[in-house]
Amino acid sequence: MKRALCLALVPALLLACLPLCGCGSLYANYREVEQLRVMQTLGLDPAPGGVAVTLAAAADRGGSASVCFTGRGESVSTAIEAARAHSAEEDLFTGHLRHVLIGEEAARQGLEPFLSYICRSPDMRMDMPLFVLLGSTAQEAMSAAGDPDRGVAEQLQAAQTKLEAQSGKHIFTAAEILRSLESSGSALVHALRCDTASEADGEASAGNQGGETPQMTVTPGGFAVIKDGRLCEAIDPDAALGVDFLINSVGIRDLVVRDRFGLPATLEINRGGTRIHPLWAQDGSLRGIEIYATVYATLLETESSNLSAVENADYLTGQLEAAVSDRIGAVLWLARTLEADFLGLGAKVEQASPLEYRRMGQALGPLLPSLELSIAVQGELRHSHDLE
Amino acid sequence: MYNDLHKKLPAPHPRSVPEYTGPISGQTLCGLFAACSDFESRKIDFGLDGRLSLLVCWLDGLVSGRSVTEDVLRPLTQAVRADGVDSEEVCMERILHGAVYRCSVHLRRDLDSLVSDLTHGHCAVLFAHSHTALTFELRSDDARTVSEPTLEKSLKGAKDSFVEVLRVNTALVRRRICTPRLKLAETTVGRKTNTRVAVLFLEGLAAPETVKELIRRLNAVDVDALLGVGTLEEAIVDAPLSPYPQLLHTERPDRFAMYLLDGRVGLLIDGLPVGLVLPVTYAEFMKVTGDSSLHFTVATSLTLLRYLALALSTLLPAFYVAVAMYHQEMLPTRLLLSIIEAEQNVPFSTALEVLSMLGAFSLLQEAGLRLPNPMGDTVSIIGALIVGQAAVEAKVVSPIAIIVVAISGISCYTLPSQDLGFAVRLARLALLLAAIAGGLFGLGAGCCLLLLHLGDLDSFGVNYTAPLSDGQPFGILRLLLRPPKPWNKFRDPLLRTLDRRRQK
Repeated sequence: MKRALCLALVPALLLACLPLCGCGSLYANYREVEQLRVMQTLGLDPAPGGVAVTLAAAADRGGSASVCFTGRGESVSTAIEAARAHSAEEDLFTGHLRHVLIGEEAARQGLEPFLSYICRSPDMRMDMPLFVLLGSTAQEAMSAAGDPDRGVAEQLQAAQTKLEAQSGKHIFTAAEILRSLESSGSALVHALRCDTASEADGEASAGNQGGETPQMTVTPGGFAVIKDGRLCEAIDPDAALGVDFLINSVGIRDLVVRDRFGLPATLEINRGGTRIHPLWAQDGSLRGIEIYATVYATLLETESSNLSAVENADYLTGQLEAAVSDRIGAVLWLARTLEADFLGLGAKVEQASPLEYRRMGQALGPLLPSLELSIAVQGELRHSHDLE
Repeated sequence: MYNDLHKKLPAPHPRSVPEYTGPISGQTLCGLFAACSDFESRKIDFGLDGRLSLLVCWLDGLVSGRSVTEDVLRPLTQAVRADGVDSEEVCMERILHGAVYRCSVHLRRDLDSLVSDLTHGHCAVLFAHSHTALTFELRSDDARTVSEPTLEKSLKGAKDSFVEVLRVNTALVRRRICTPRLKLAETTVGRKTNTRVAVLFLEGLAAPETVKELIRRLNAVDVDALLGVGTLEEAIVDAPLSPYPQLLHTERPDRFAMYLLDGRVGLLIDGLPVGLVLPVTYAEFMKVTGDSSLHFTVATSLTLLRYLALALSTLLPAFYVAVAMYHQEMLPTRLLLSIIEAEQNVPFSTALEVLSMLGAFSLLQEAGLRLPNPMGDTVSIIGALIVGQAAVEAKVVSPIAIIVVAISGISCYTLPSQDLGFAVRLARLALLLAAIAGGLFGLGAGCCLLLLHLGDLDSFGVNYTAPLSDGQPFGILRLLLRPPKPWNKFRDPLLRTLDRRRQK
């Protein structure tokens, strides 16, 4: 009897636990898979009195262009619901969103409502990559960028892959942005730009100018600096190398420098990073920060033919060090100007000297203009396959 | 420890022992075997001198007629043997001392044992005045010869298998375990069939309480007939309502002997070419005889593969349905897009699709099994290739559903035990229904109930889920790994063997 009671209790307990799994009823989550329209990109723009949302599906394998649905509402949720209303037959499925694209204007007005939605919505994932689109609205880019072969989701994925290659597989996610905003009041977000196809592809598509709507392509556009929840400055793709060094996320990217004769030489940066050394004053305040950077590169191309290997390598190494130093300096200068620690220098100082940093008792951002910042770069040119 | 179901419920109409009462006489015997056209009796004069008449009885077909003639009738009618015989007692004494050329002779004084002997292939010589009989085993040799096993094939192992004759089967085992410690306890089961059942165990090794309990349960079995394993199995196992097998069947004497050497107890039934082994755990049904002949790395890999197949077979359809109906977020995007594309023009829901495909698969499986071999293969091929392909082209089912059901079905074929395969098919269906009802929560709840059920099962004092549940360390490793033979020094402690050491 006791055994039978135990056996009966287990199913009863399991049924009692059913509400704990988040389902209001057994069929709350039920949906037939063939009725789903999988949305992969979420675009966010400002709209009069609220938010405009654009949802883009993946390009159909049948050859039709990727479909975009737009909706407006007072909040992101209501705007998404409005977008859902446009699709009567299919259920717009947002559980597989891969990218969130925020238009420049929306970013300037503030990311907080969007980040709040991403944090709280069960459909969103905190590890979703988040991009700011510079120079355009998300809706405009998403509507124009899709084509039958390559929808906006595929283009964003291609841009993300390129960014990952350049910045050591690191893409800022919603969670990281939130964490950075919480800890230092500022954050970095990868930026994208929307170019016409002719600008992006150069000569190859120069002849294709007669179309009614210009074909748009999404390309990497450096970084957007967020301070107090709003976009305040952009870092161009060239200077983005400095950011990669300072956040220790250097991938493989090409850098063109000049050799001794002023001819261009292409170096491929393979590896690099920075370590910092905080300088403390007698009274316990932070006096300055020494930044030591190392960079390893390979010579890919050079037009010089009469250089001795050693001289050329030394000169190019110097050029490499100078280029990296310039870019790091440019980013640091921007941080000083904005008084924003979007590079996470405070966390690094804390790691290096935890007790002193805790005694300091204030965030690093406002202190940056008064700090002595020095940069030392050590470069090495390796595996250059010198023909001589 | 043991399930006391059998103790609590008294038999509804206990077997009357002895079943046949009365004096031994030709008249009684002829009355009992009236309307039995195979019953033969012949009255003879002992020594042909007219002083003493005997009645010889046998059942034709069970007993070899040639042996009756040569070994019984001929010596009994030779005048030289009747010299000095003036009473039945002297005659009986002479026969018992070798007047009849048979290796075994039994003196029967009660009708019940005499009838039992006759129905088990003995020839009886009746003495009318003393109401006694002498019986000689003259069983006909018309039985299937020992041949290769049909289900449990092995590349490196022995090639013989059990047959339908109990004594041949016991001999096959004894040939492998040449020790007087191999004990055989025989009993009879079945009111009408009187089927002989032999309990085999190694004295000094098998747990005495297991042997005792088995014999007690066998004696408690009160059925009309024992013509199949299921009758006995359902009568003696701890949880007869469970679909999971609780006795291991084998048709290989070498495997049977191996289990006896592990300290288990075996059962052989007259008329059935299988041996039963107990106690067993779930893990035993995942082992194959050939594993012991393979290198331990290969055997371990194959064991892992079988467990993977078990998981796929049990869970894959339910998991697919749960994810496709409730938890699409879990799928990789590309896979989800492929599934959506495949399901696009199919008119049925995913649940109905998978259920119907599982039903169709089971139908094909049953059809293939029941039909003769060449026809069964044809049906399987036609069903799998032509009907499946046509169903996909007609957009009645999606290719993904077919793939899921096919993987699940094929995985089930890799399970070594057919009995376990049937249980897995039932569990698969139950879990599928749970997944349809509640998604992953339903599947999880179903798995909990299944594990609870398995954990609740006992086989003669050994938990069915051992070694995972025995509280000893490294249970999962002991389950999955087959250690090298030199390391395998001890017998399984769960079996409570009297001698744990297997080798030096």
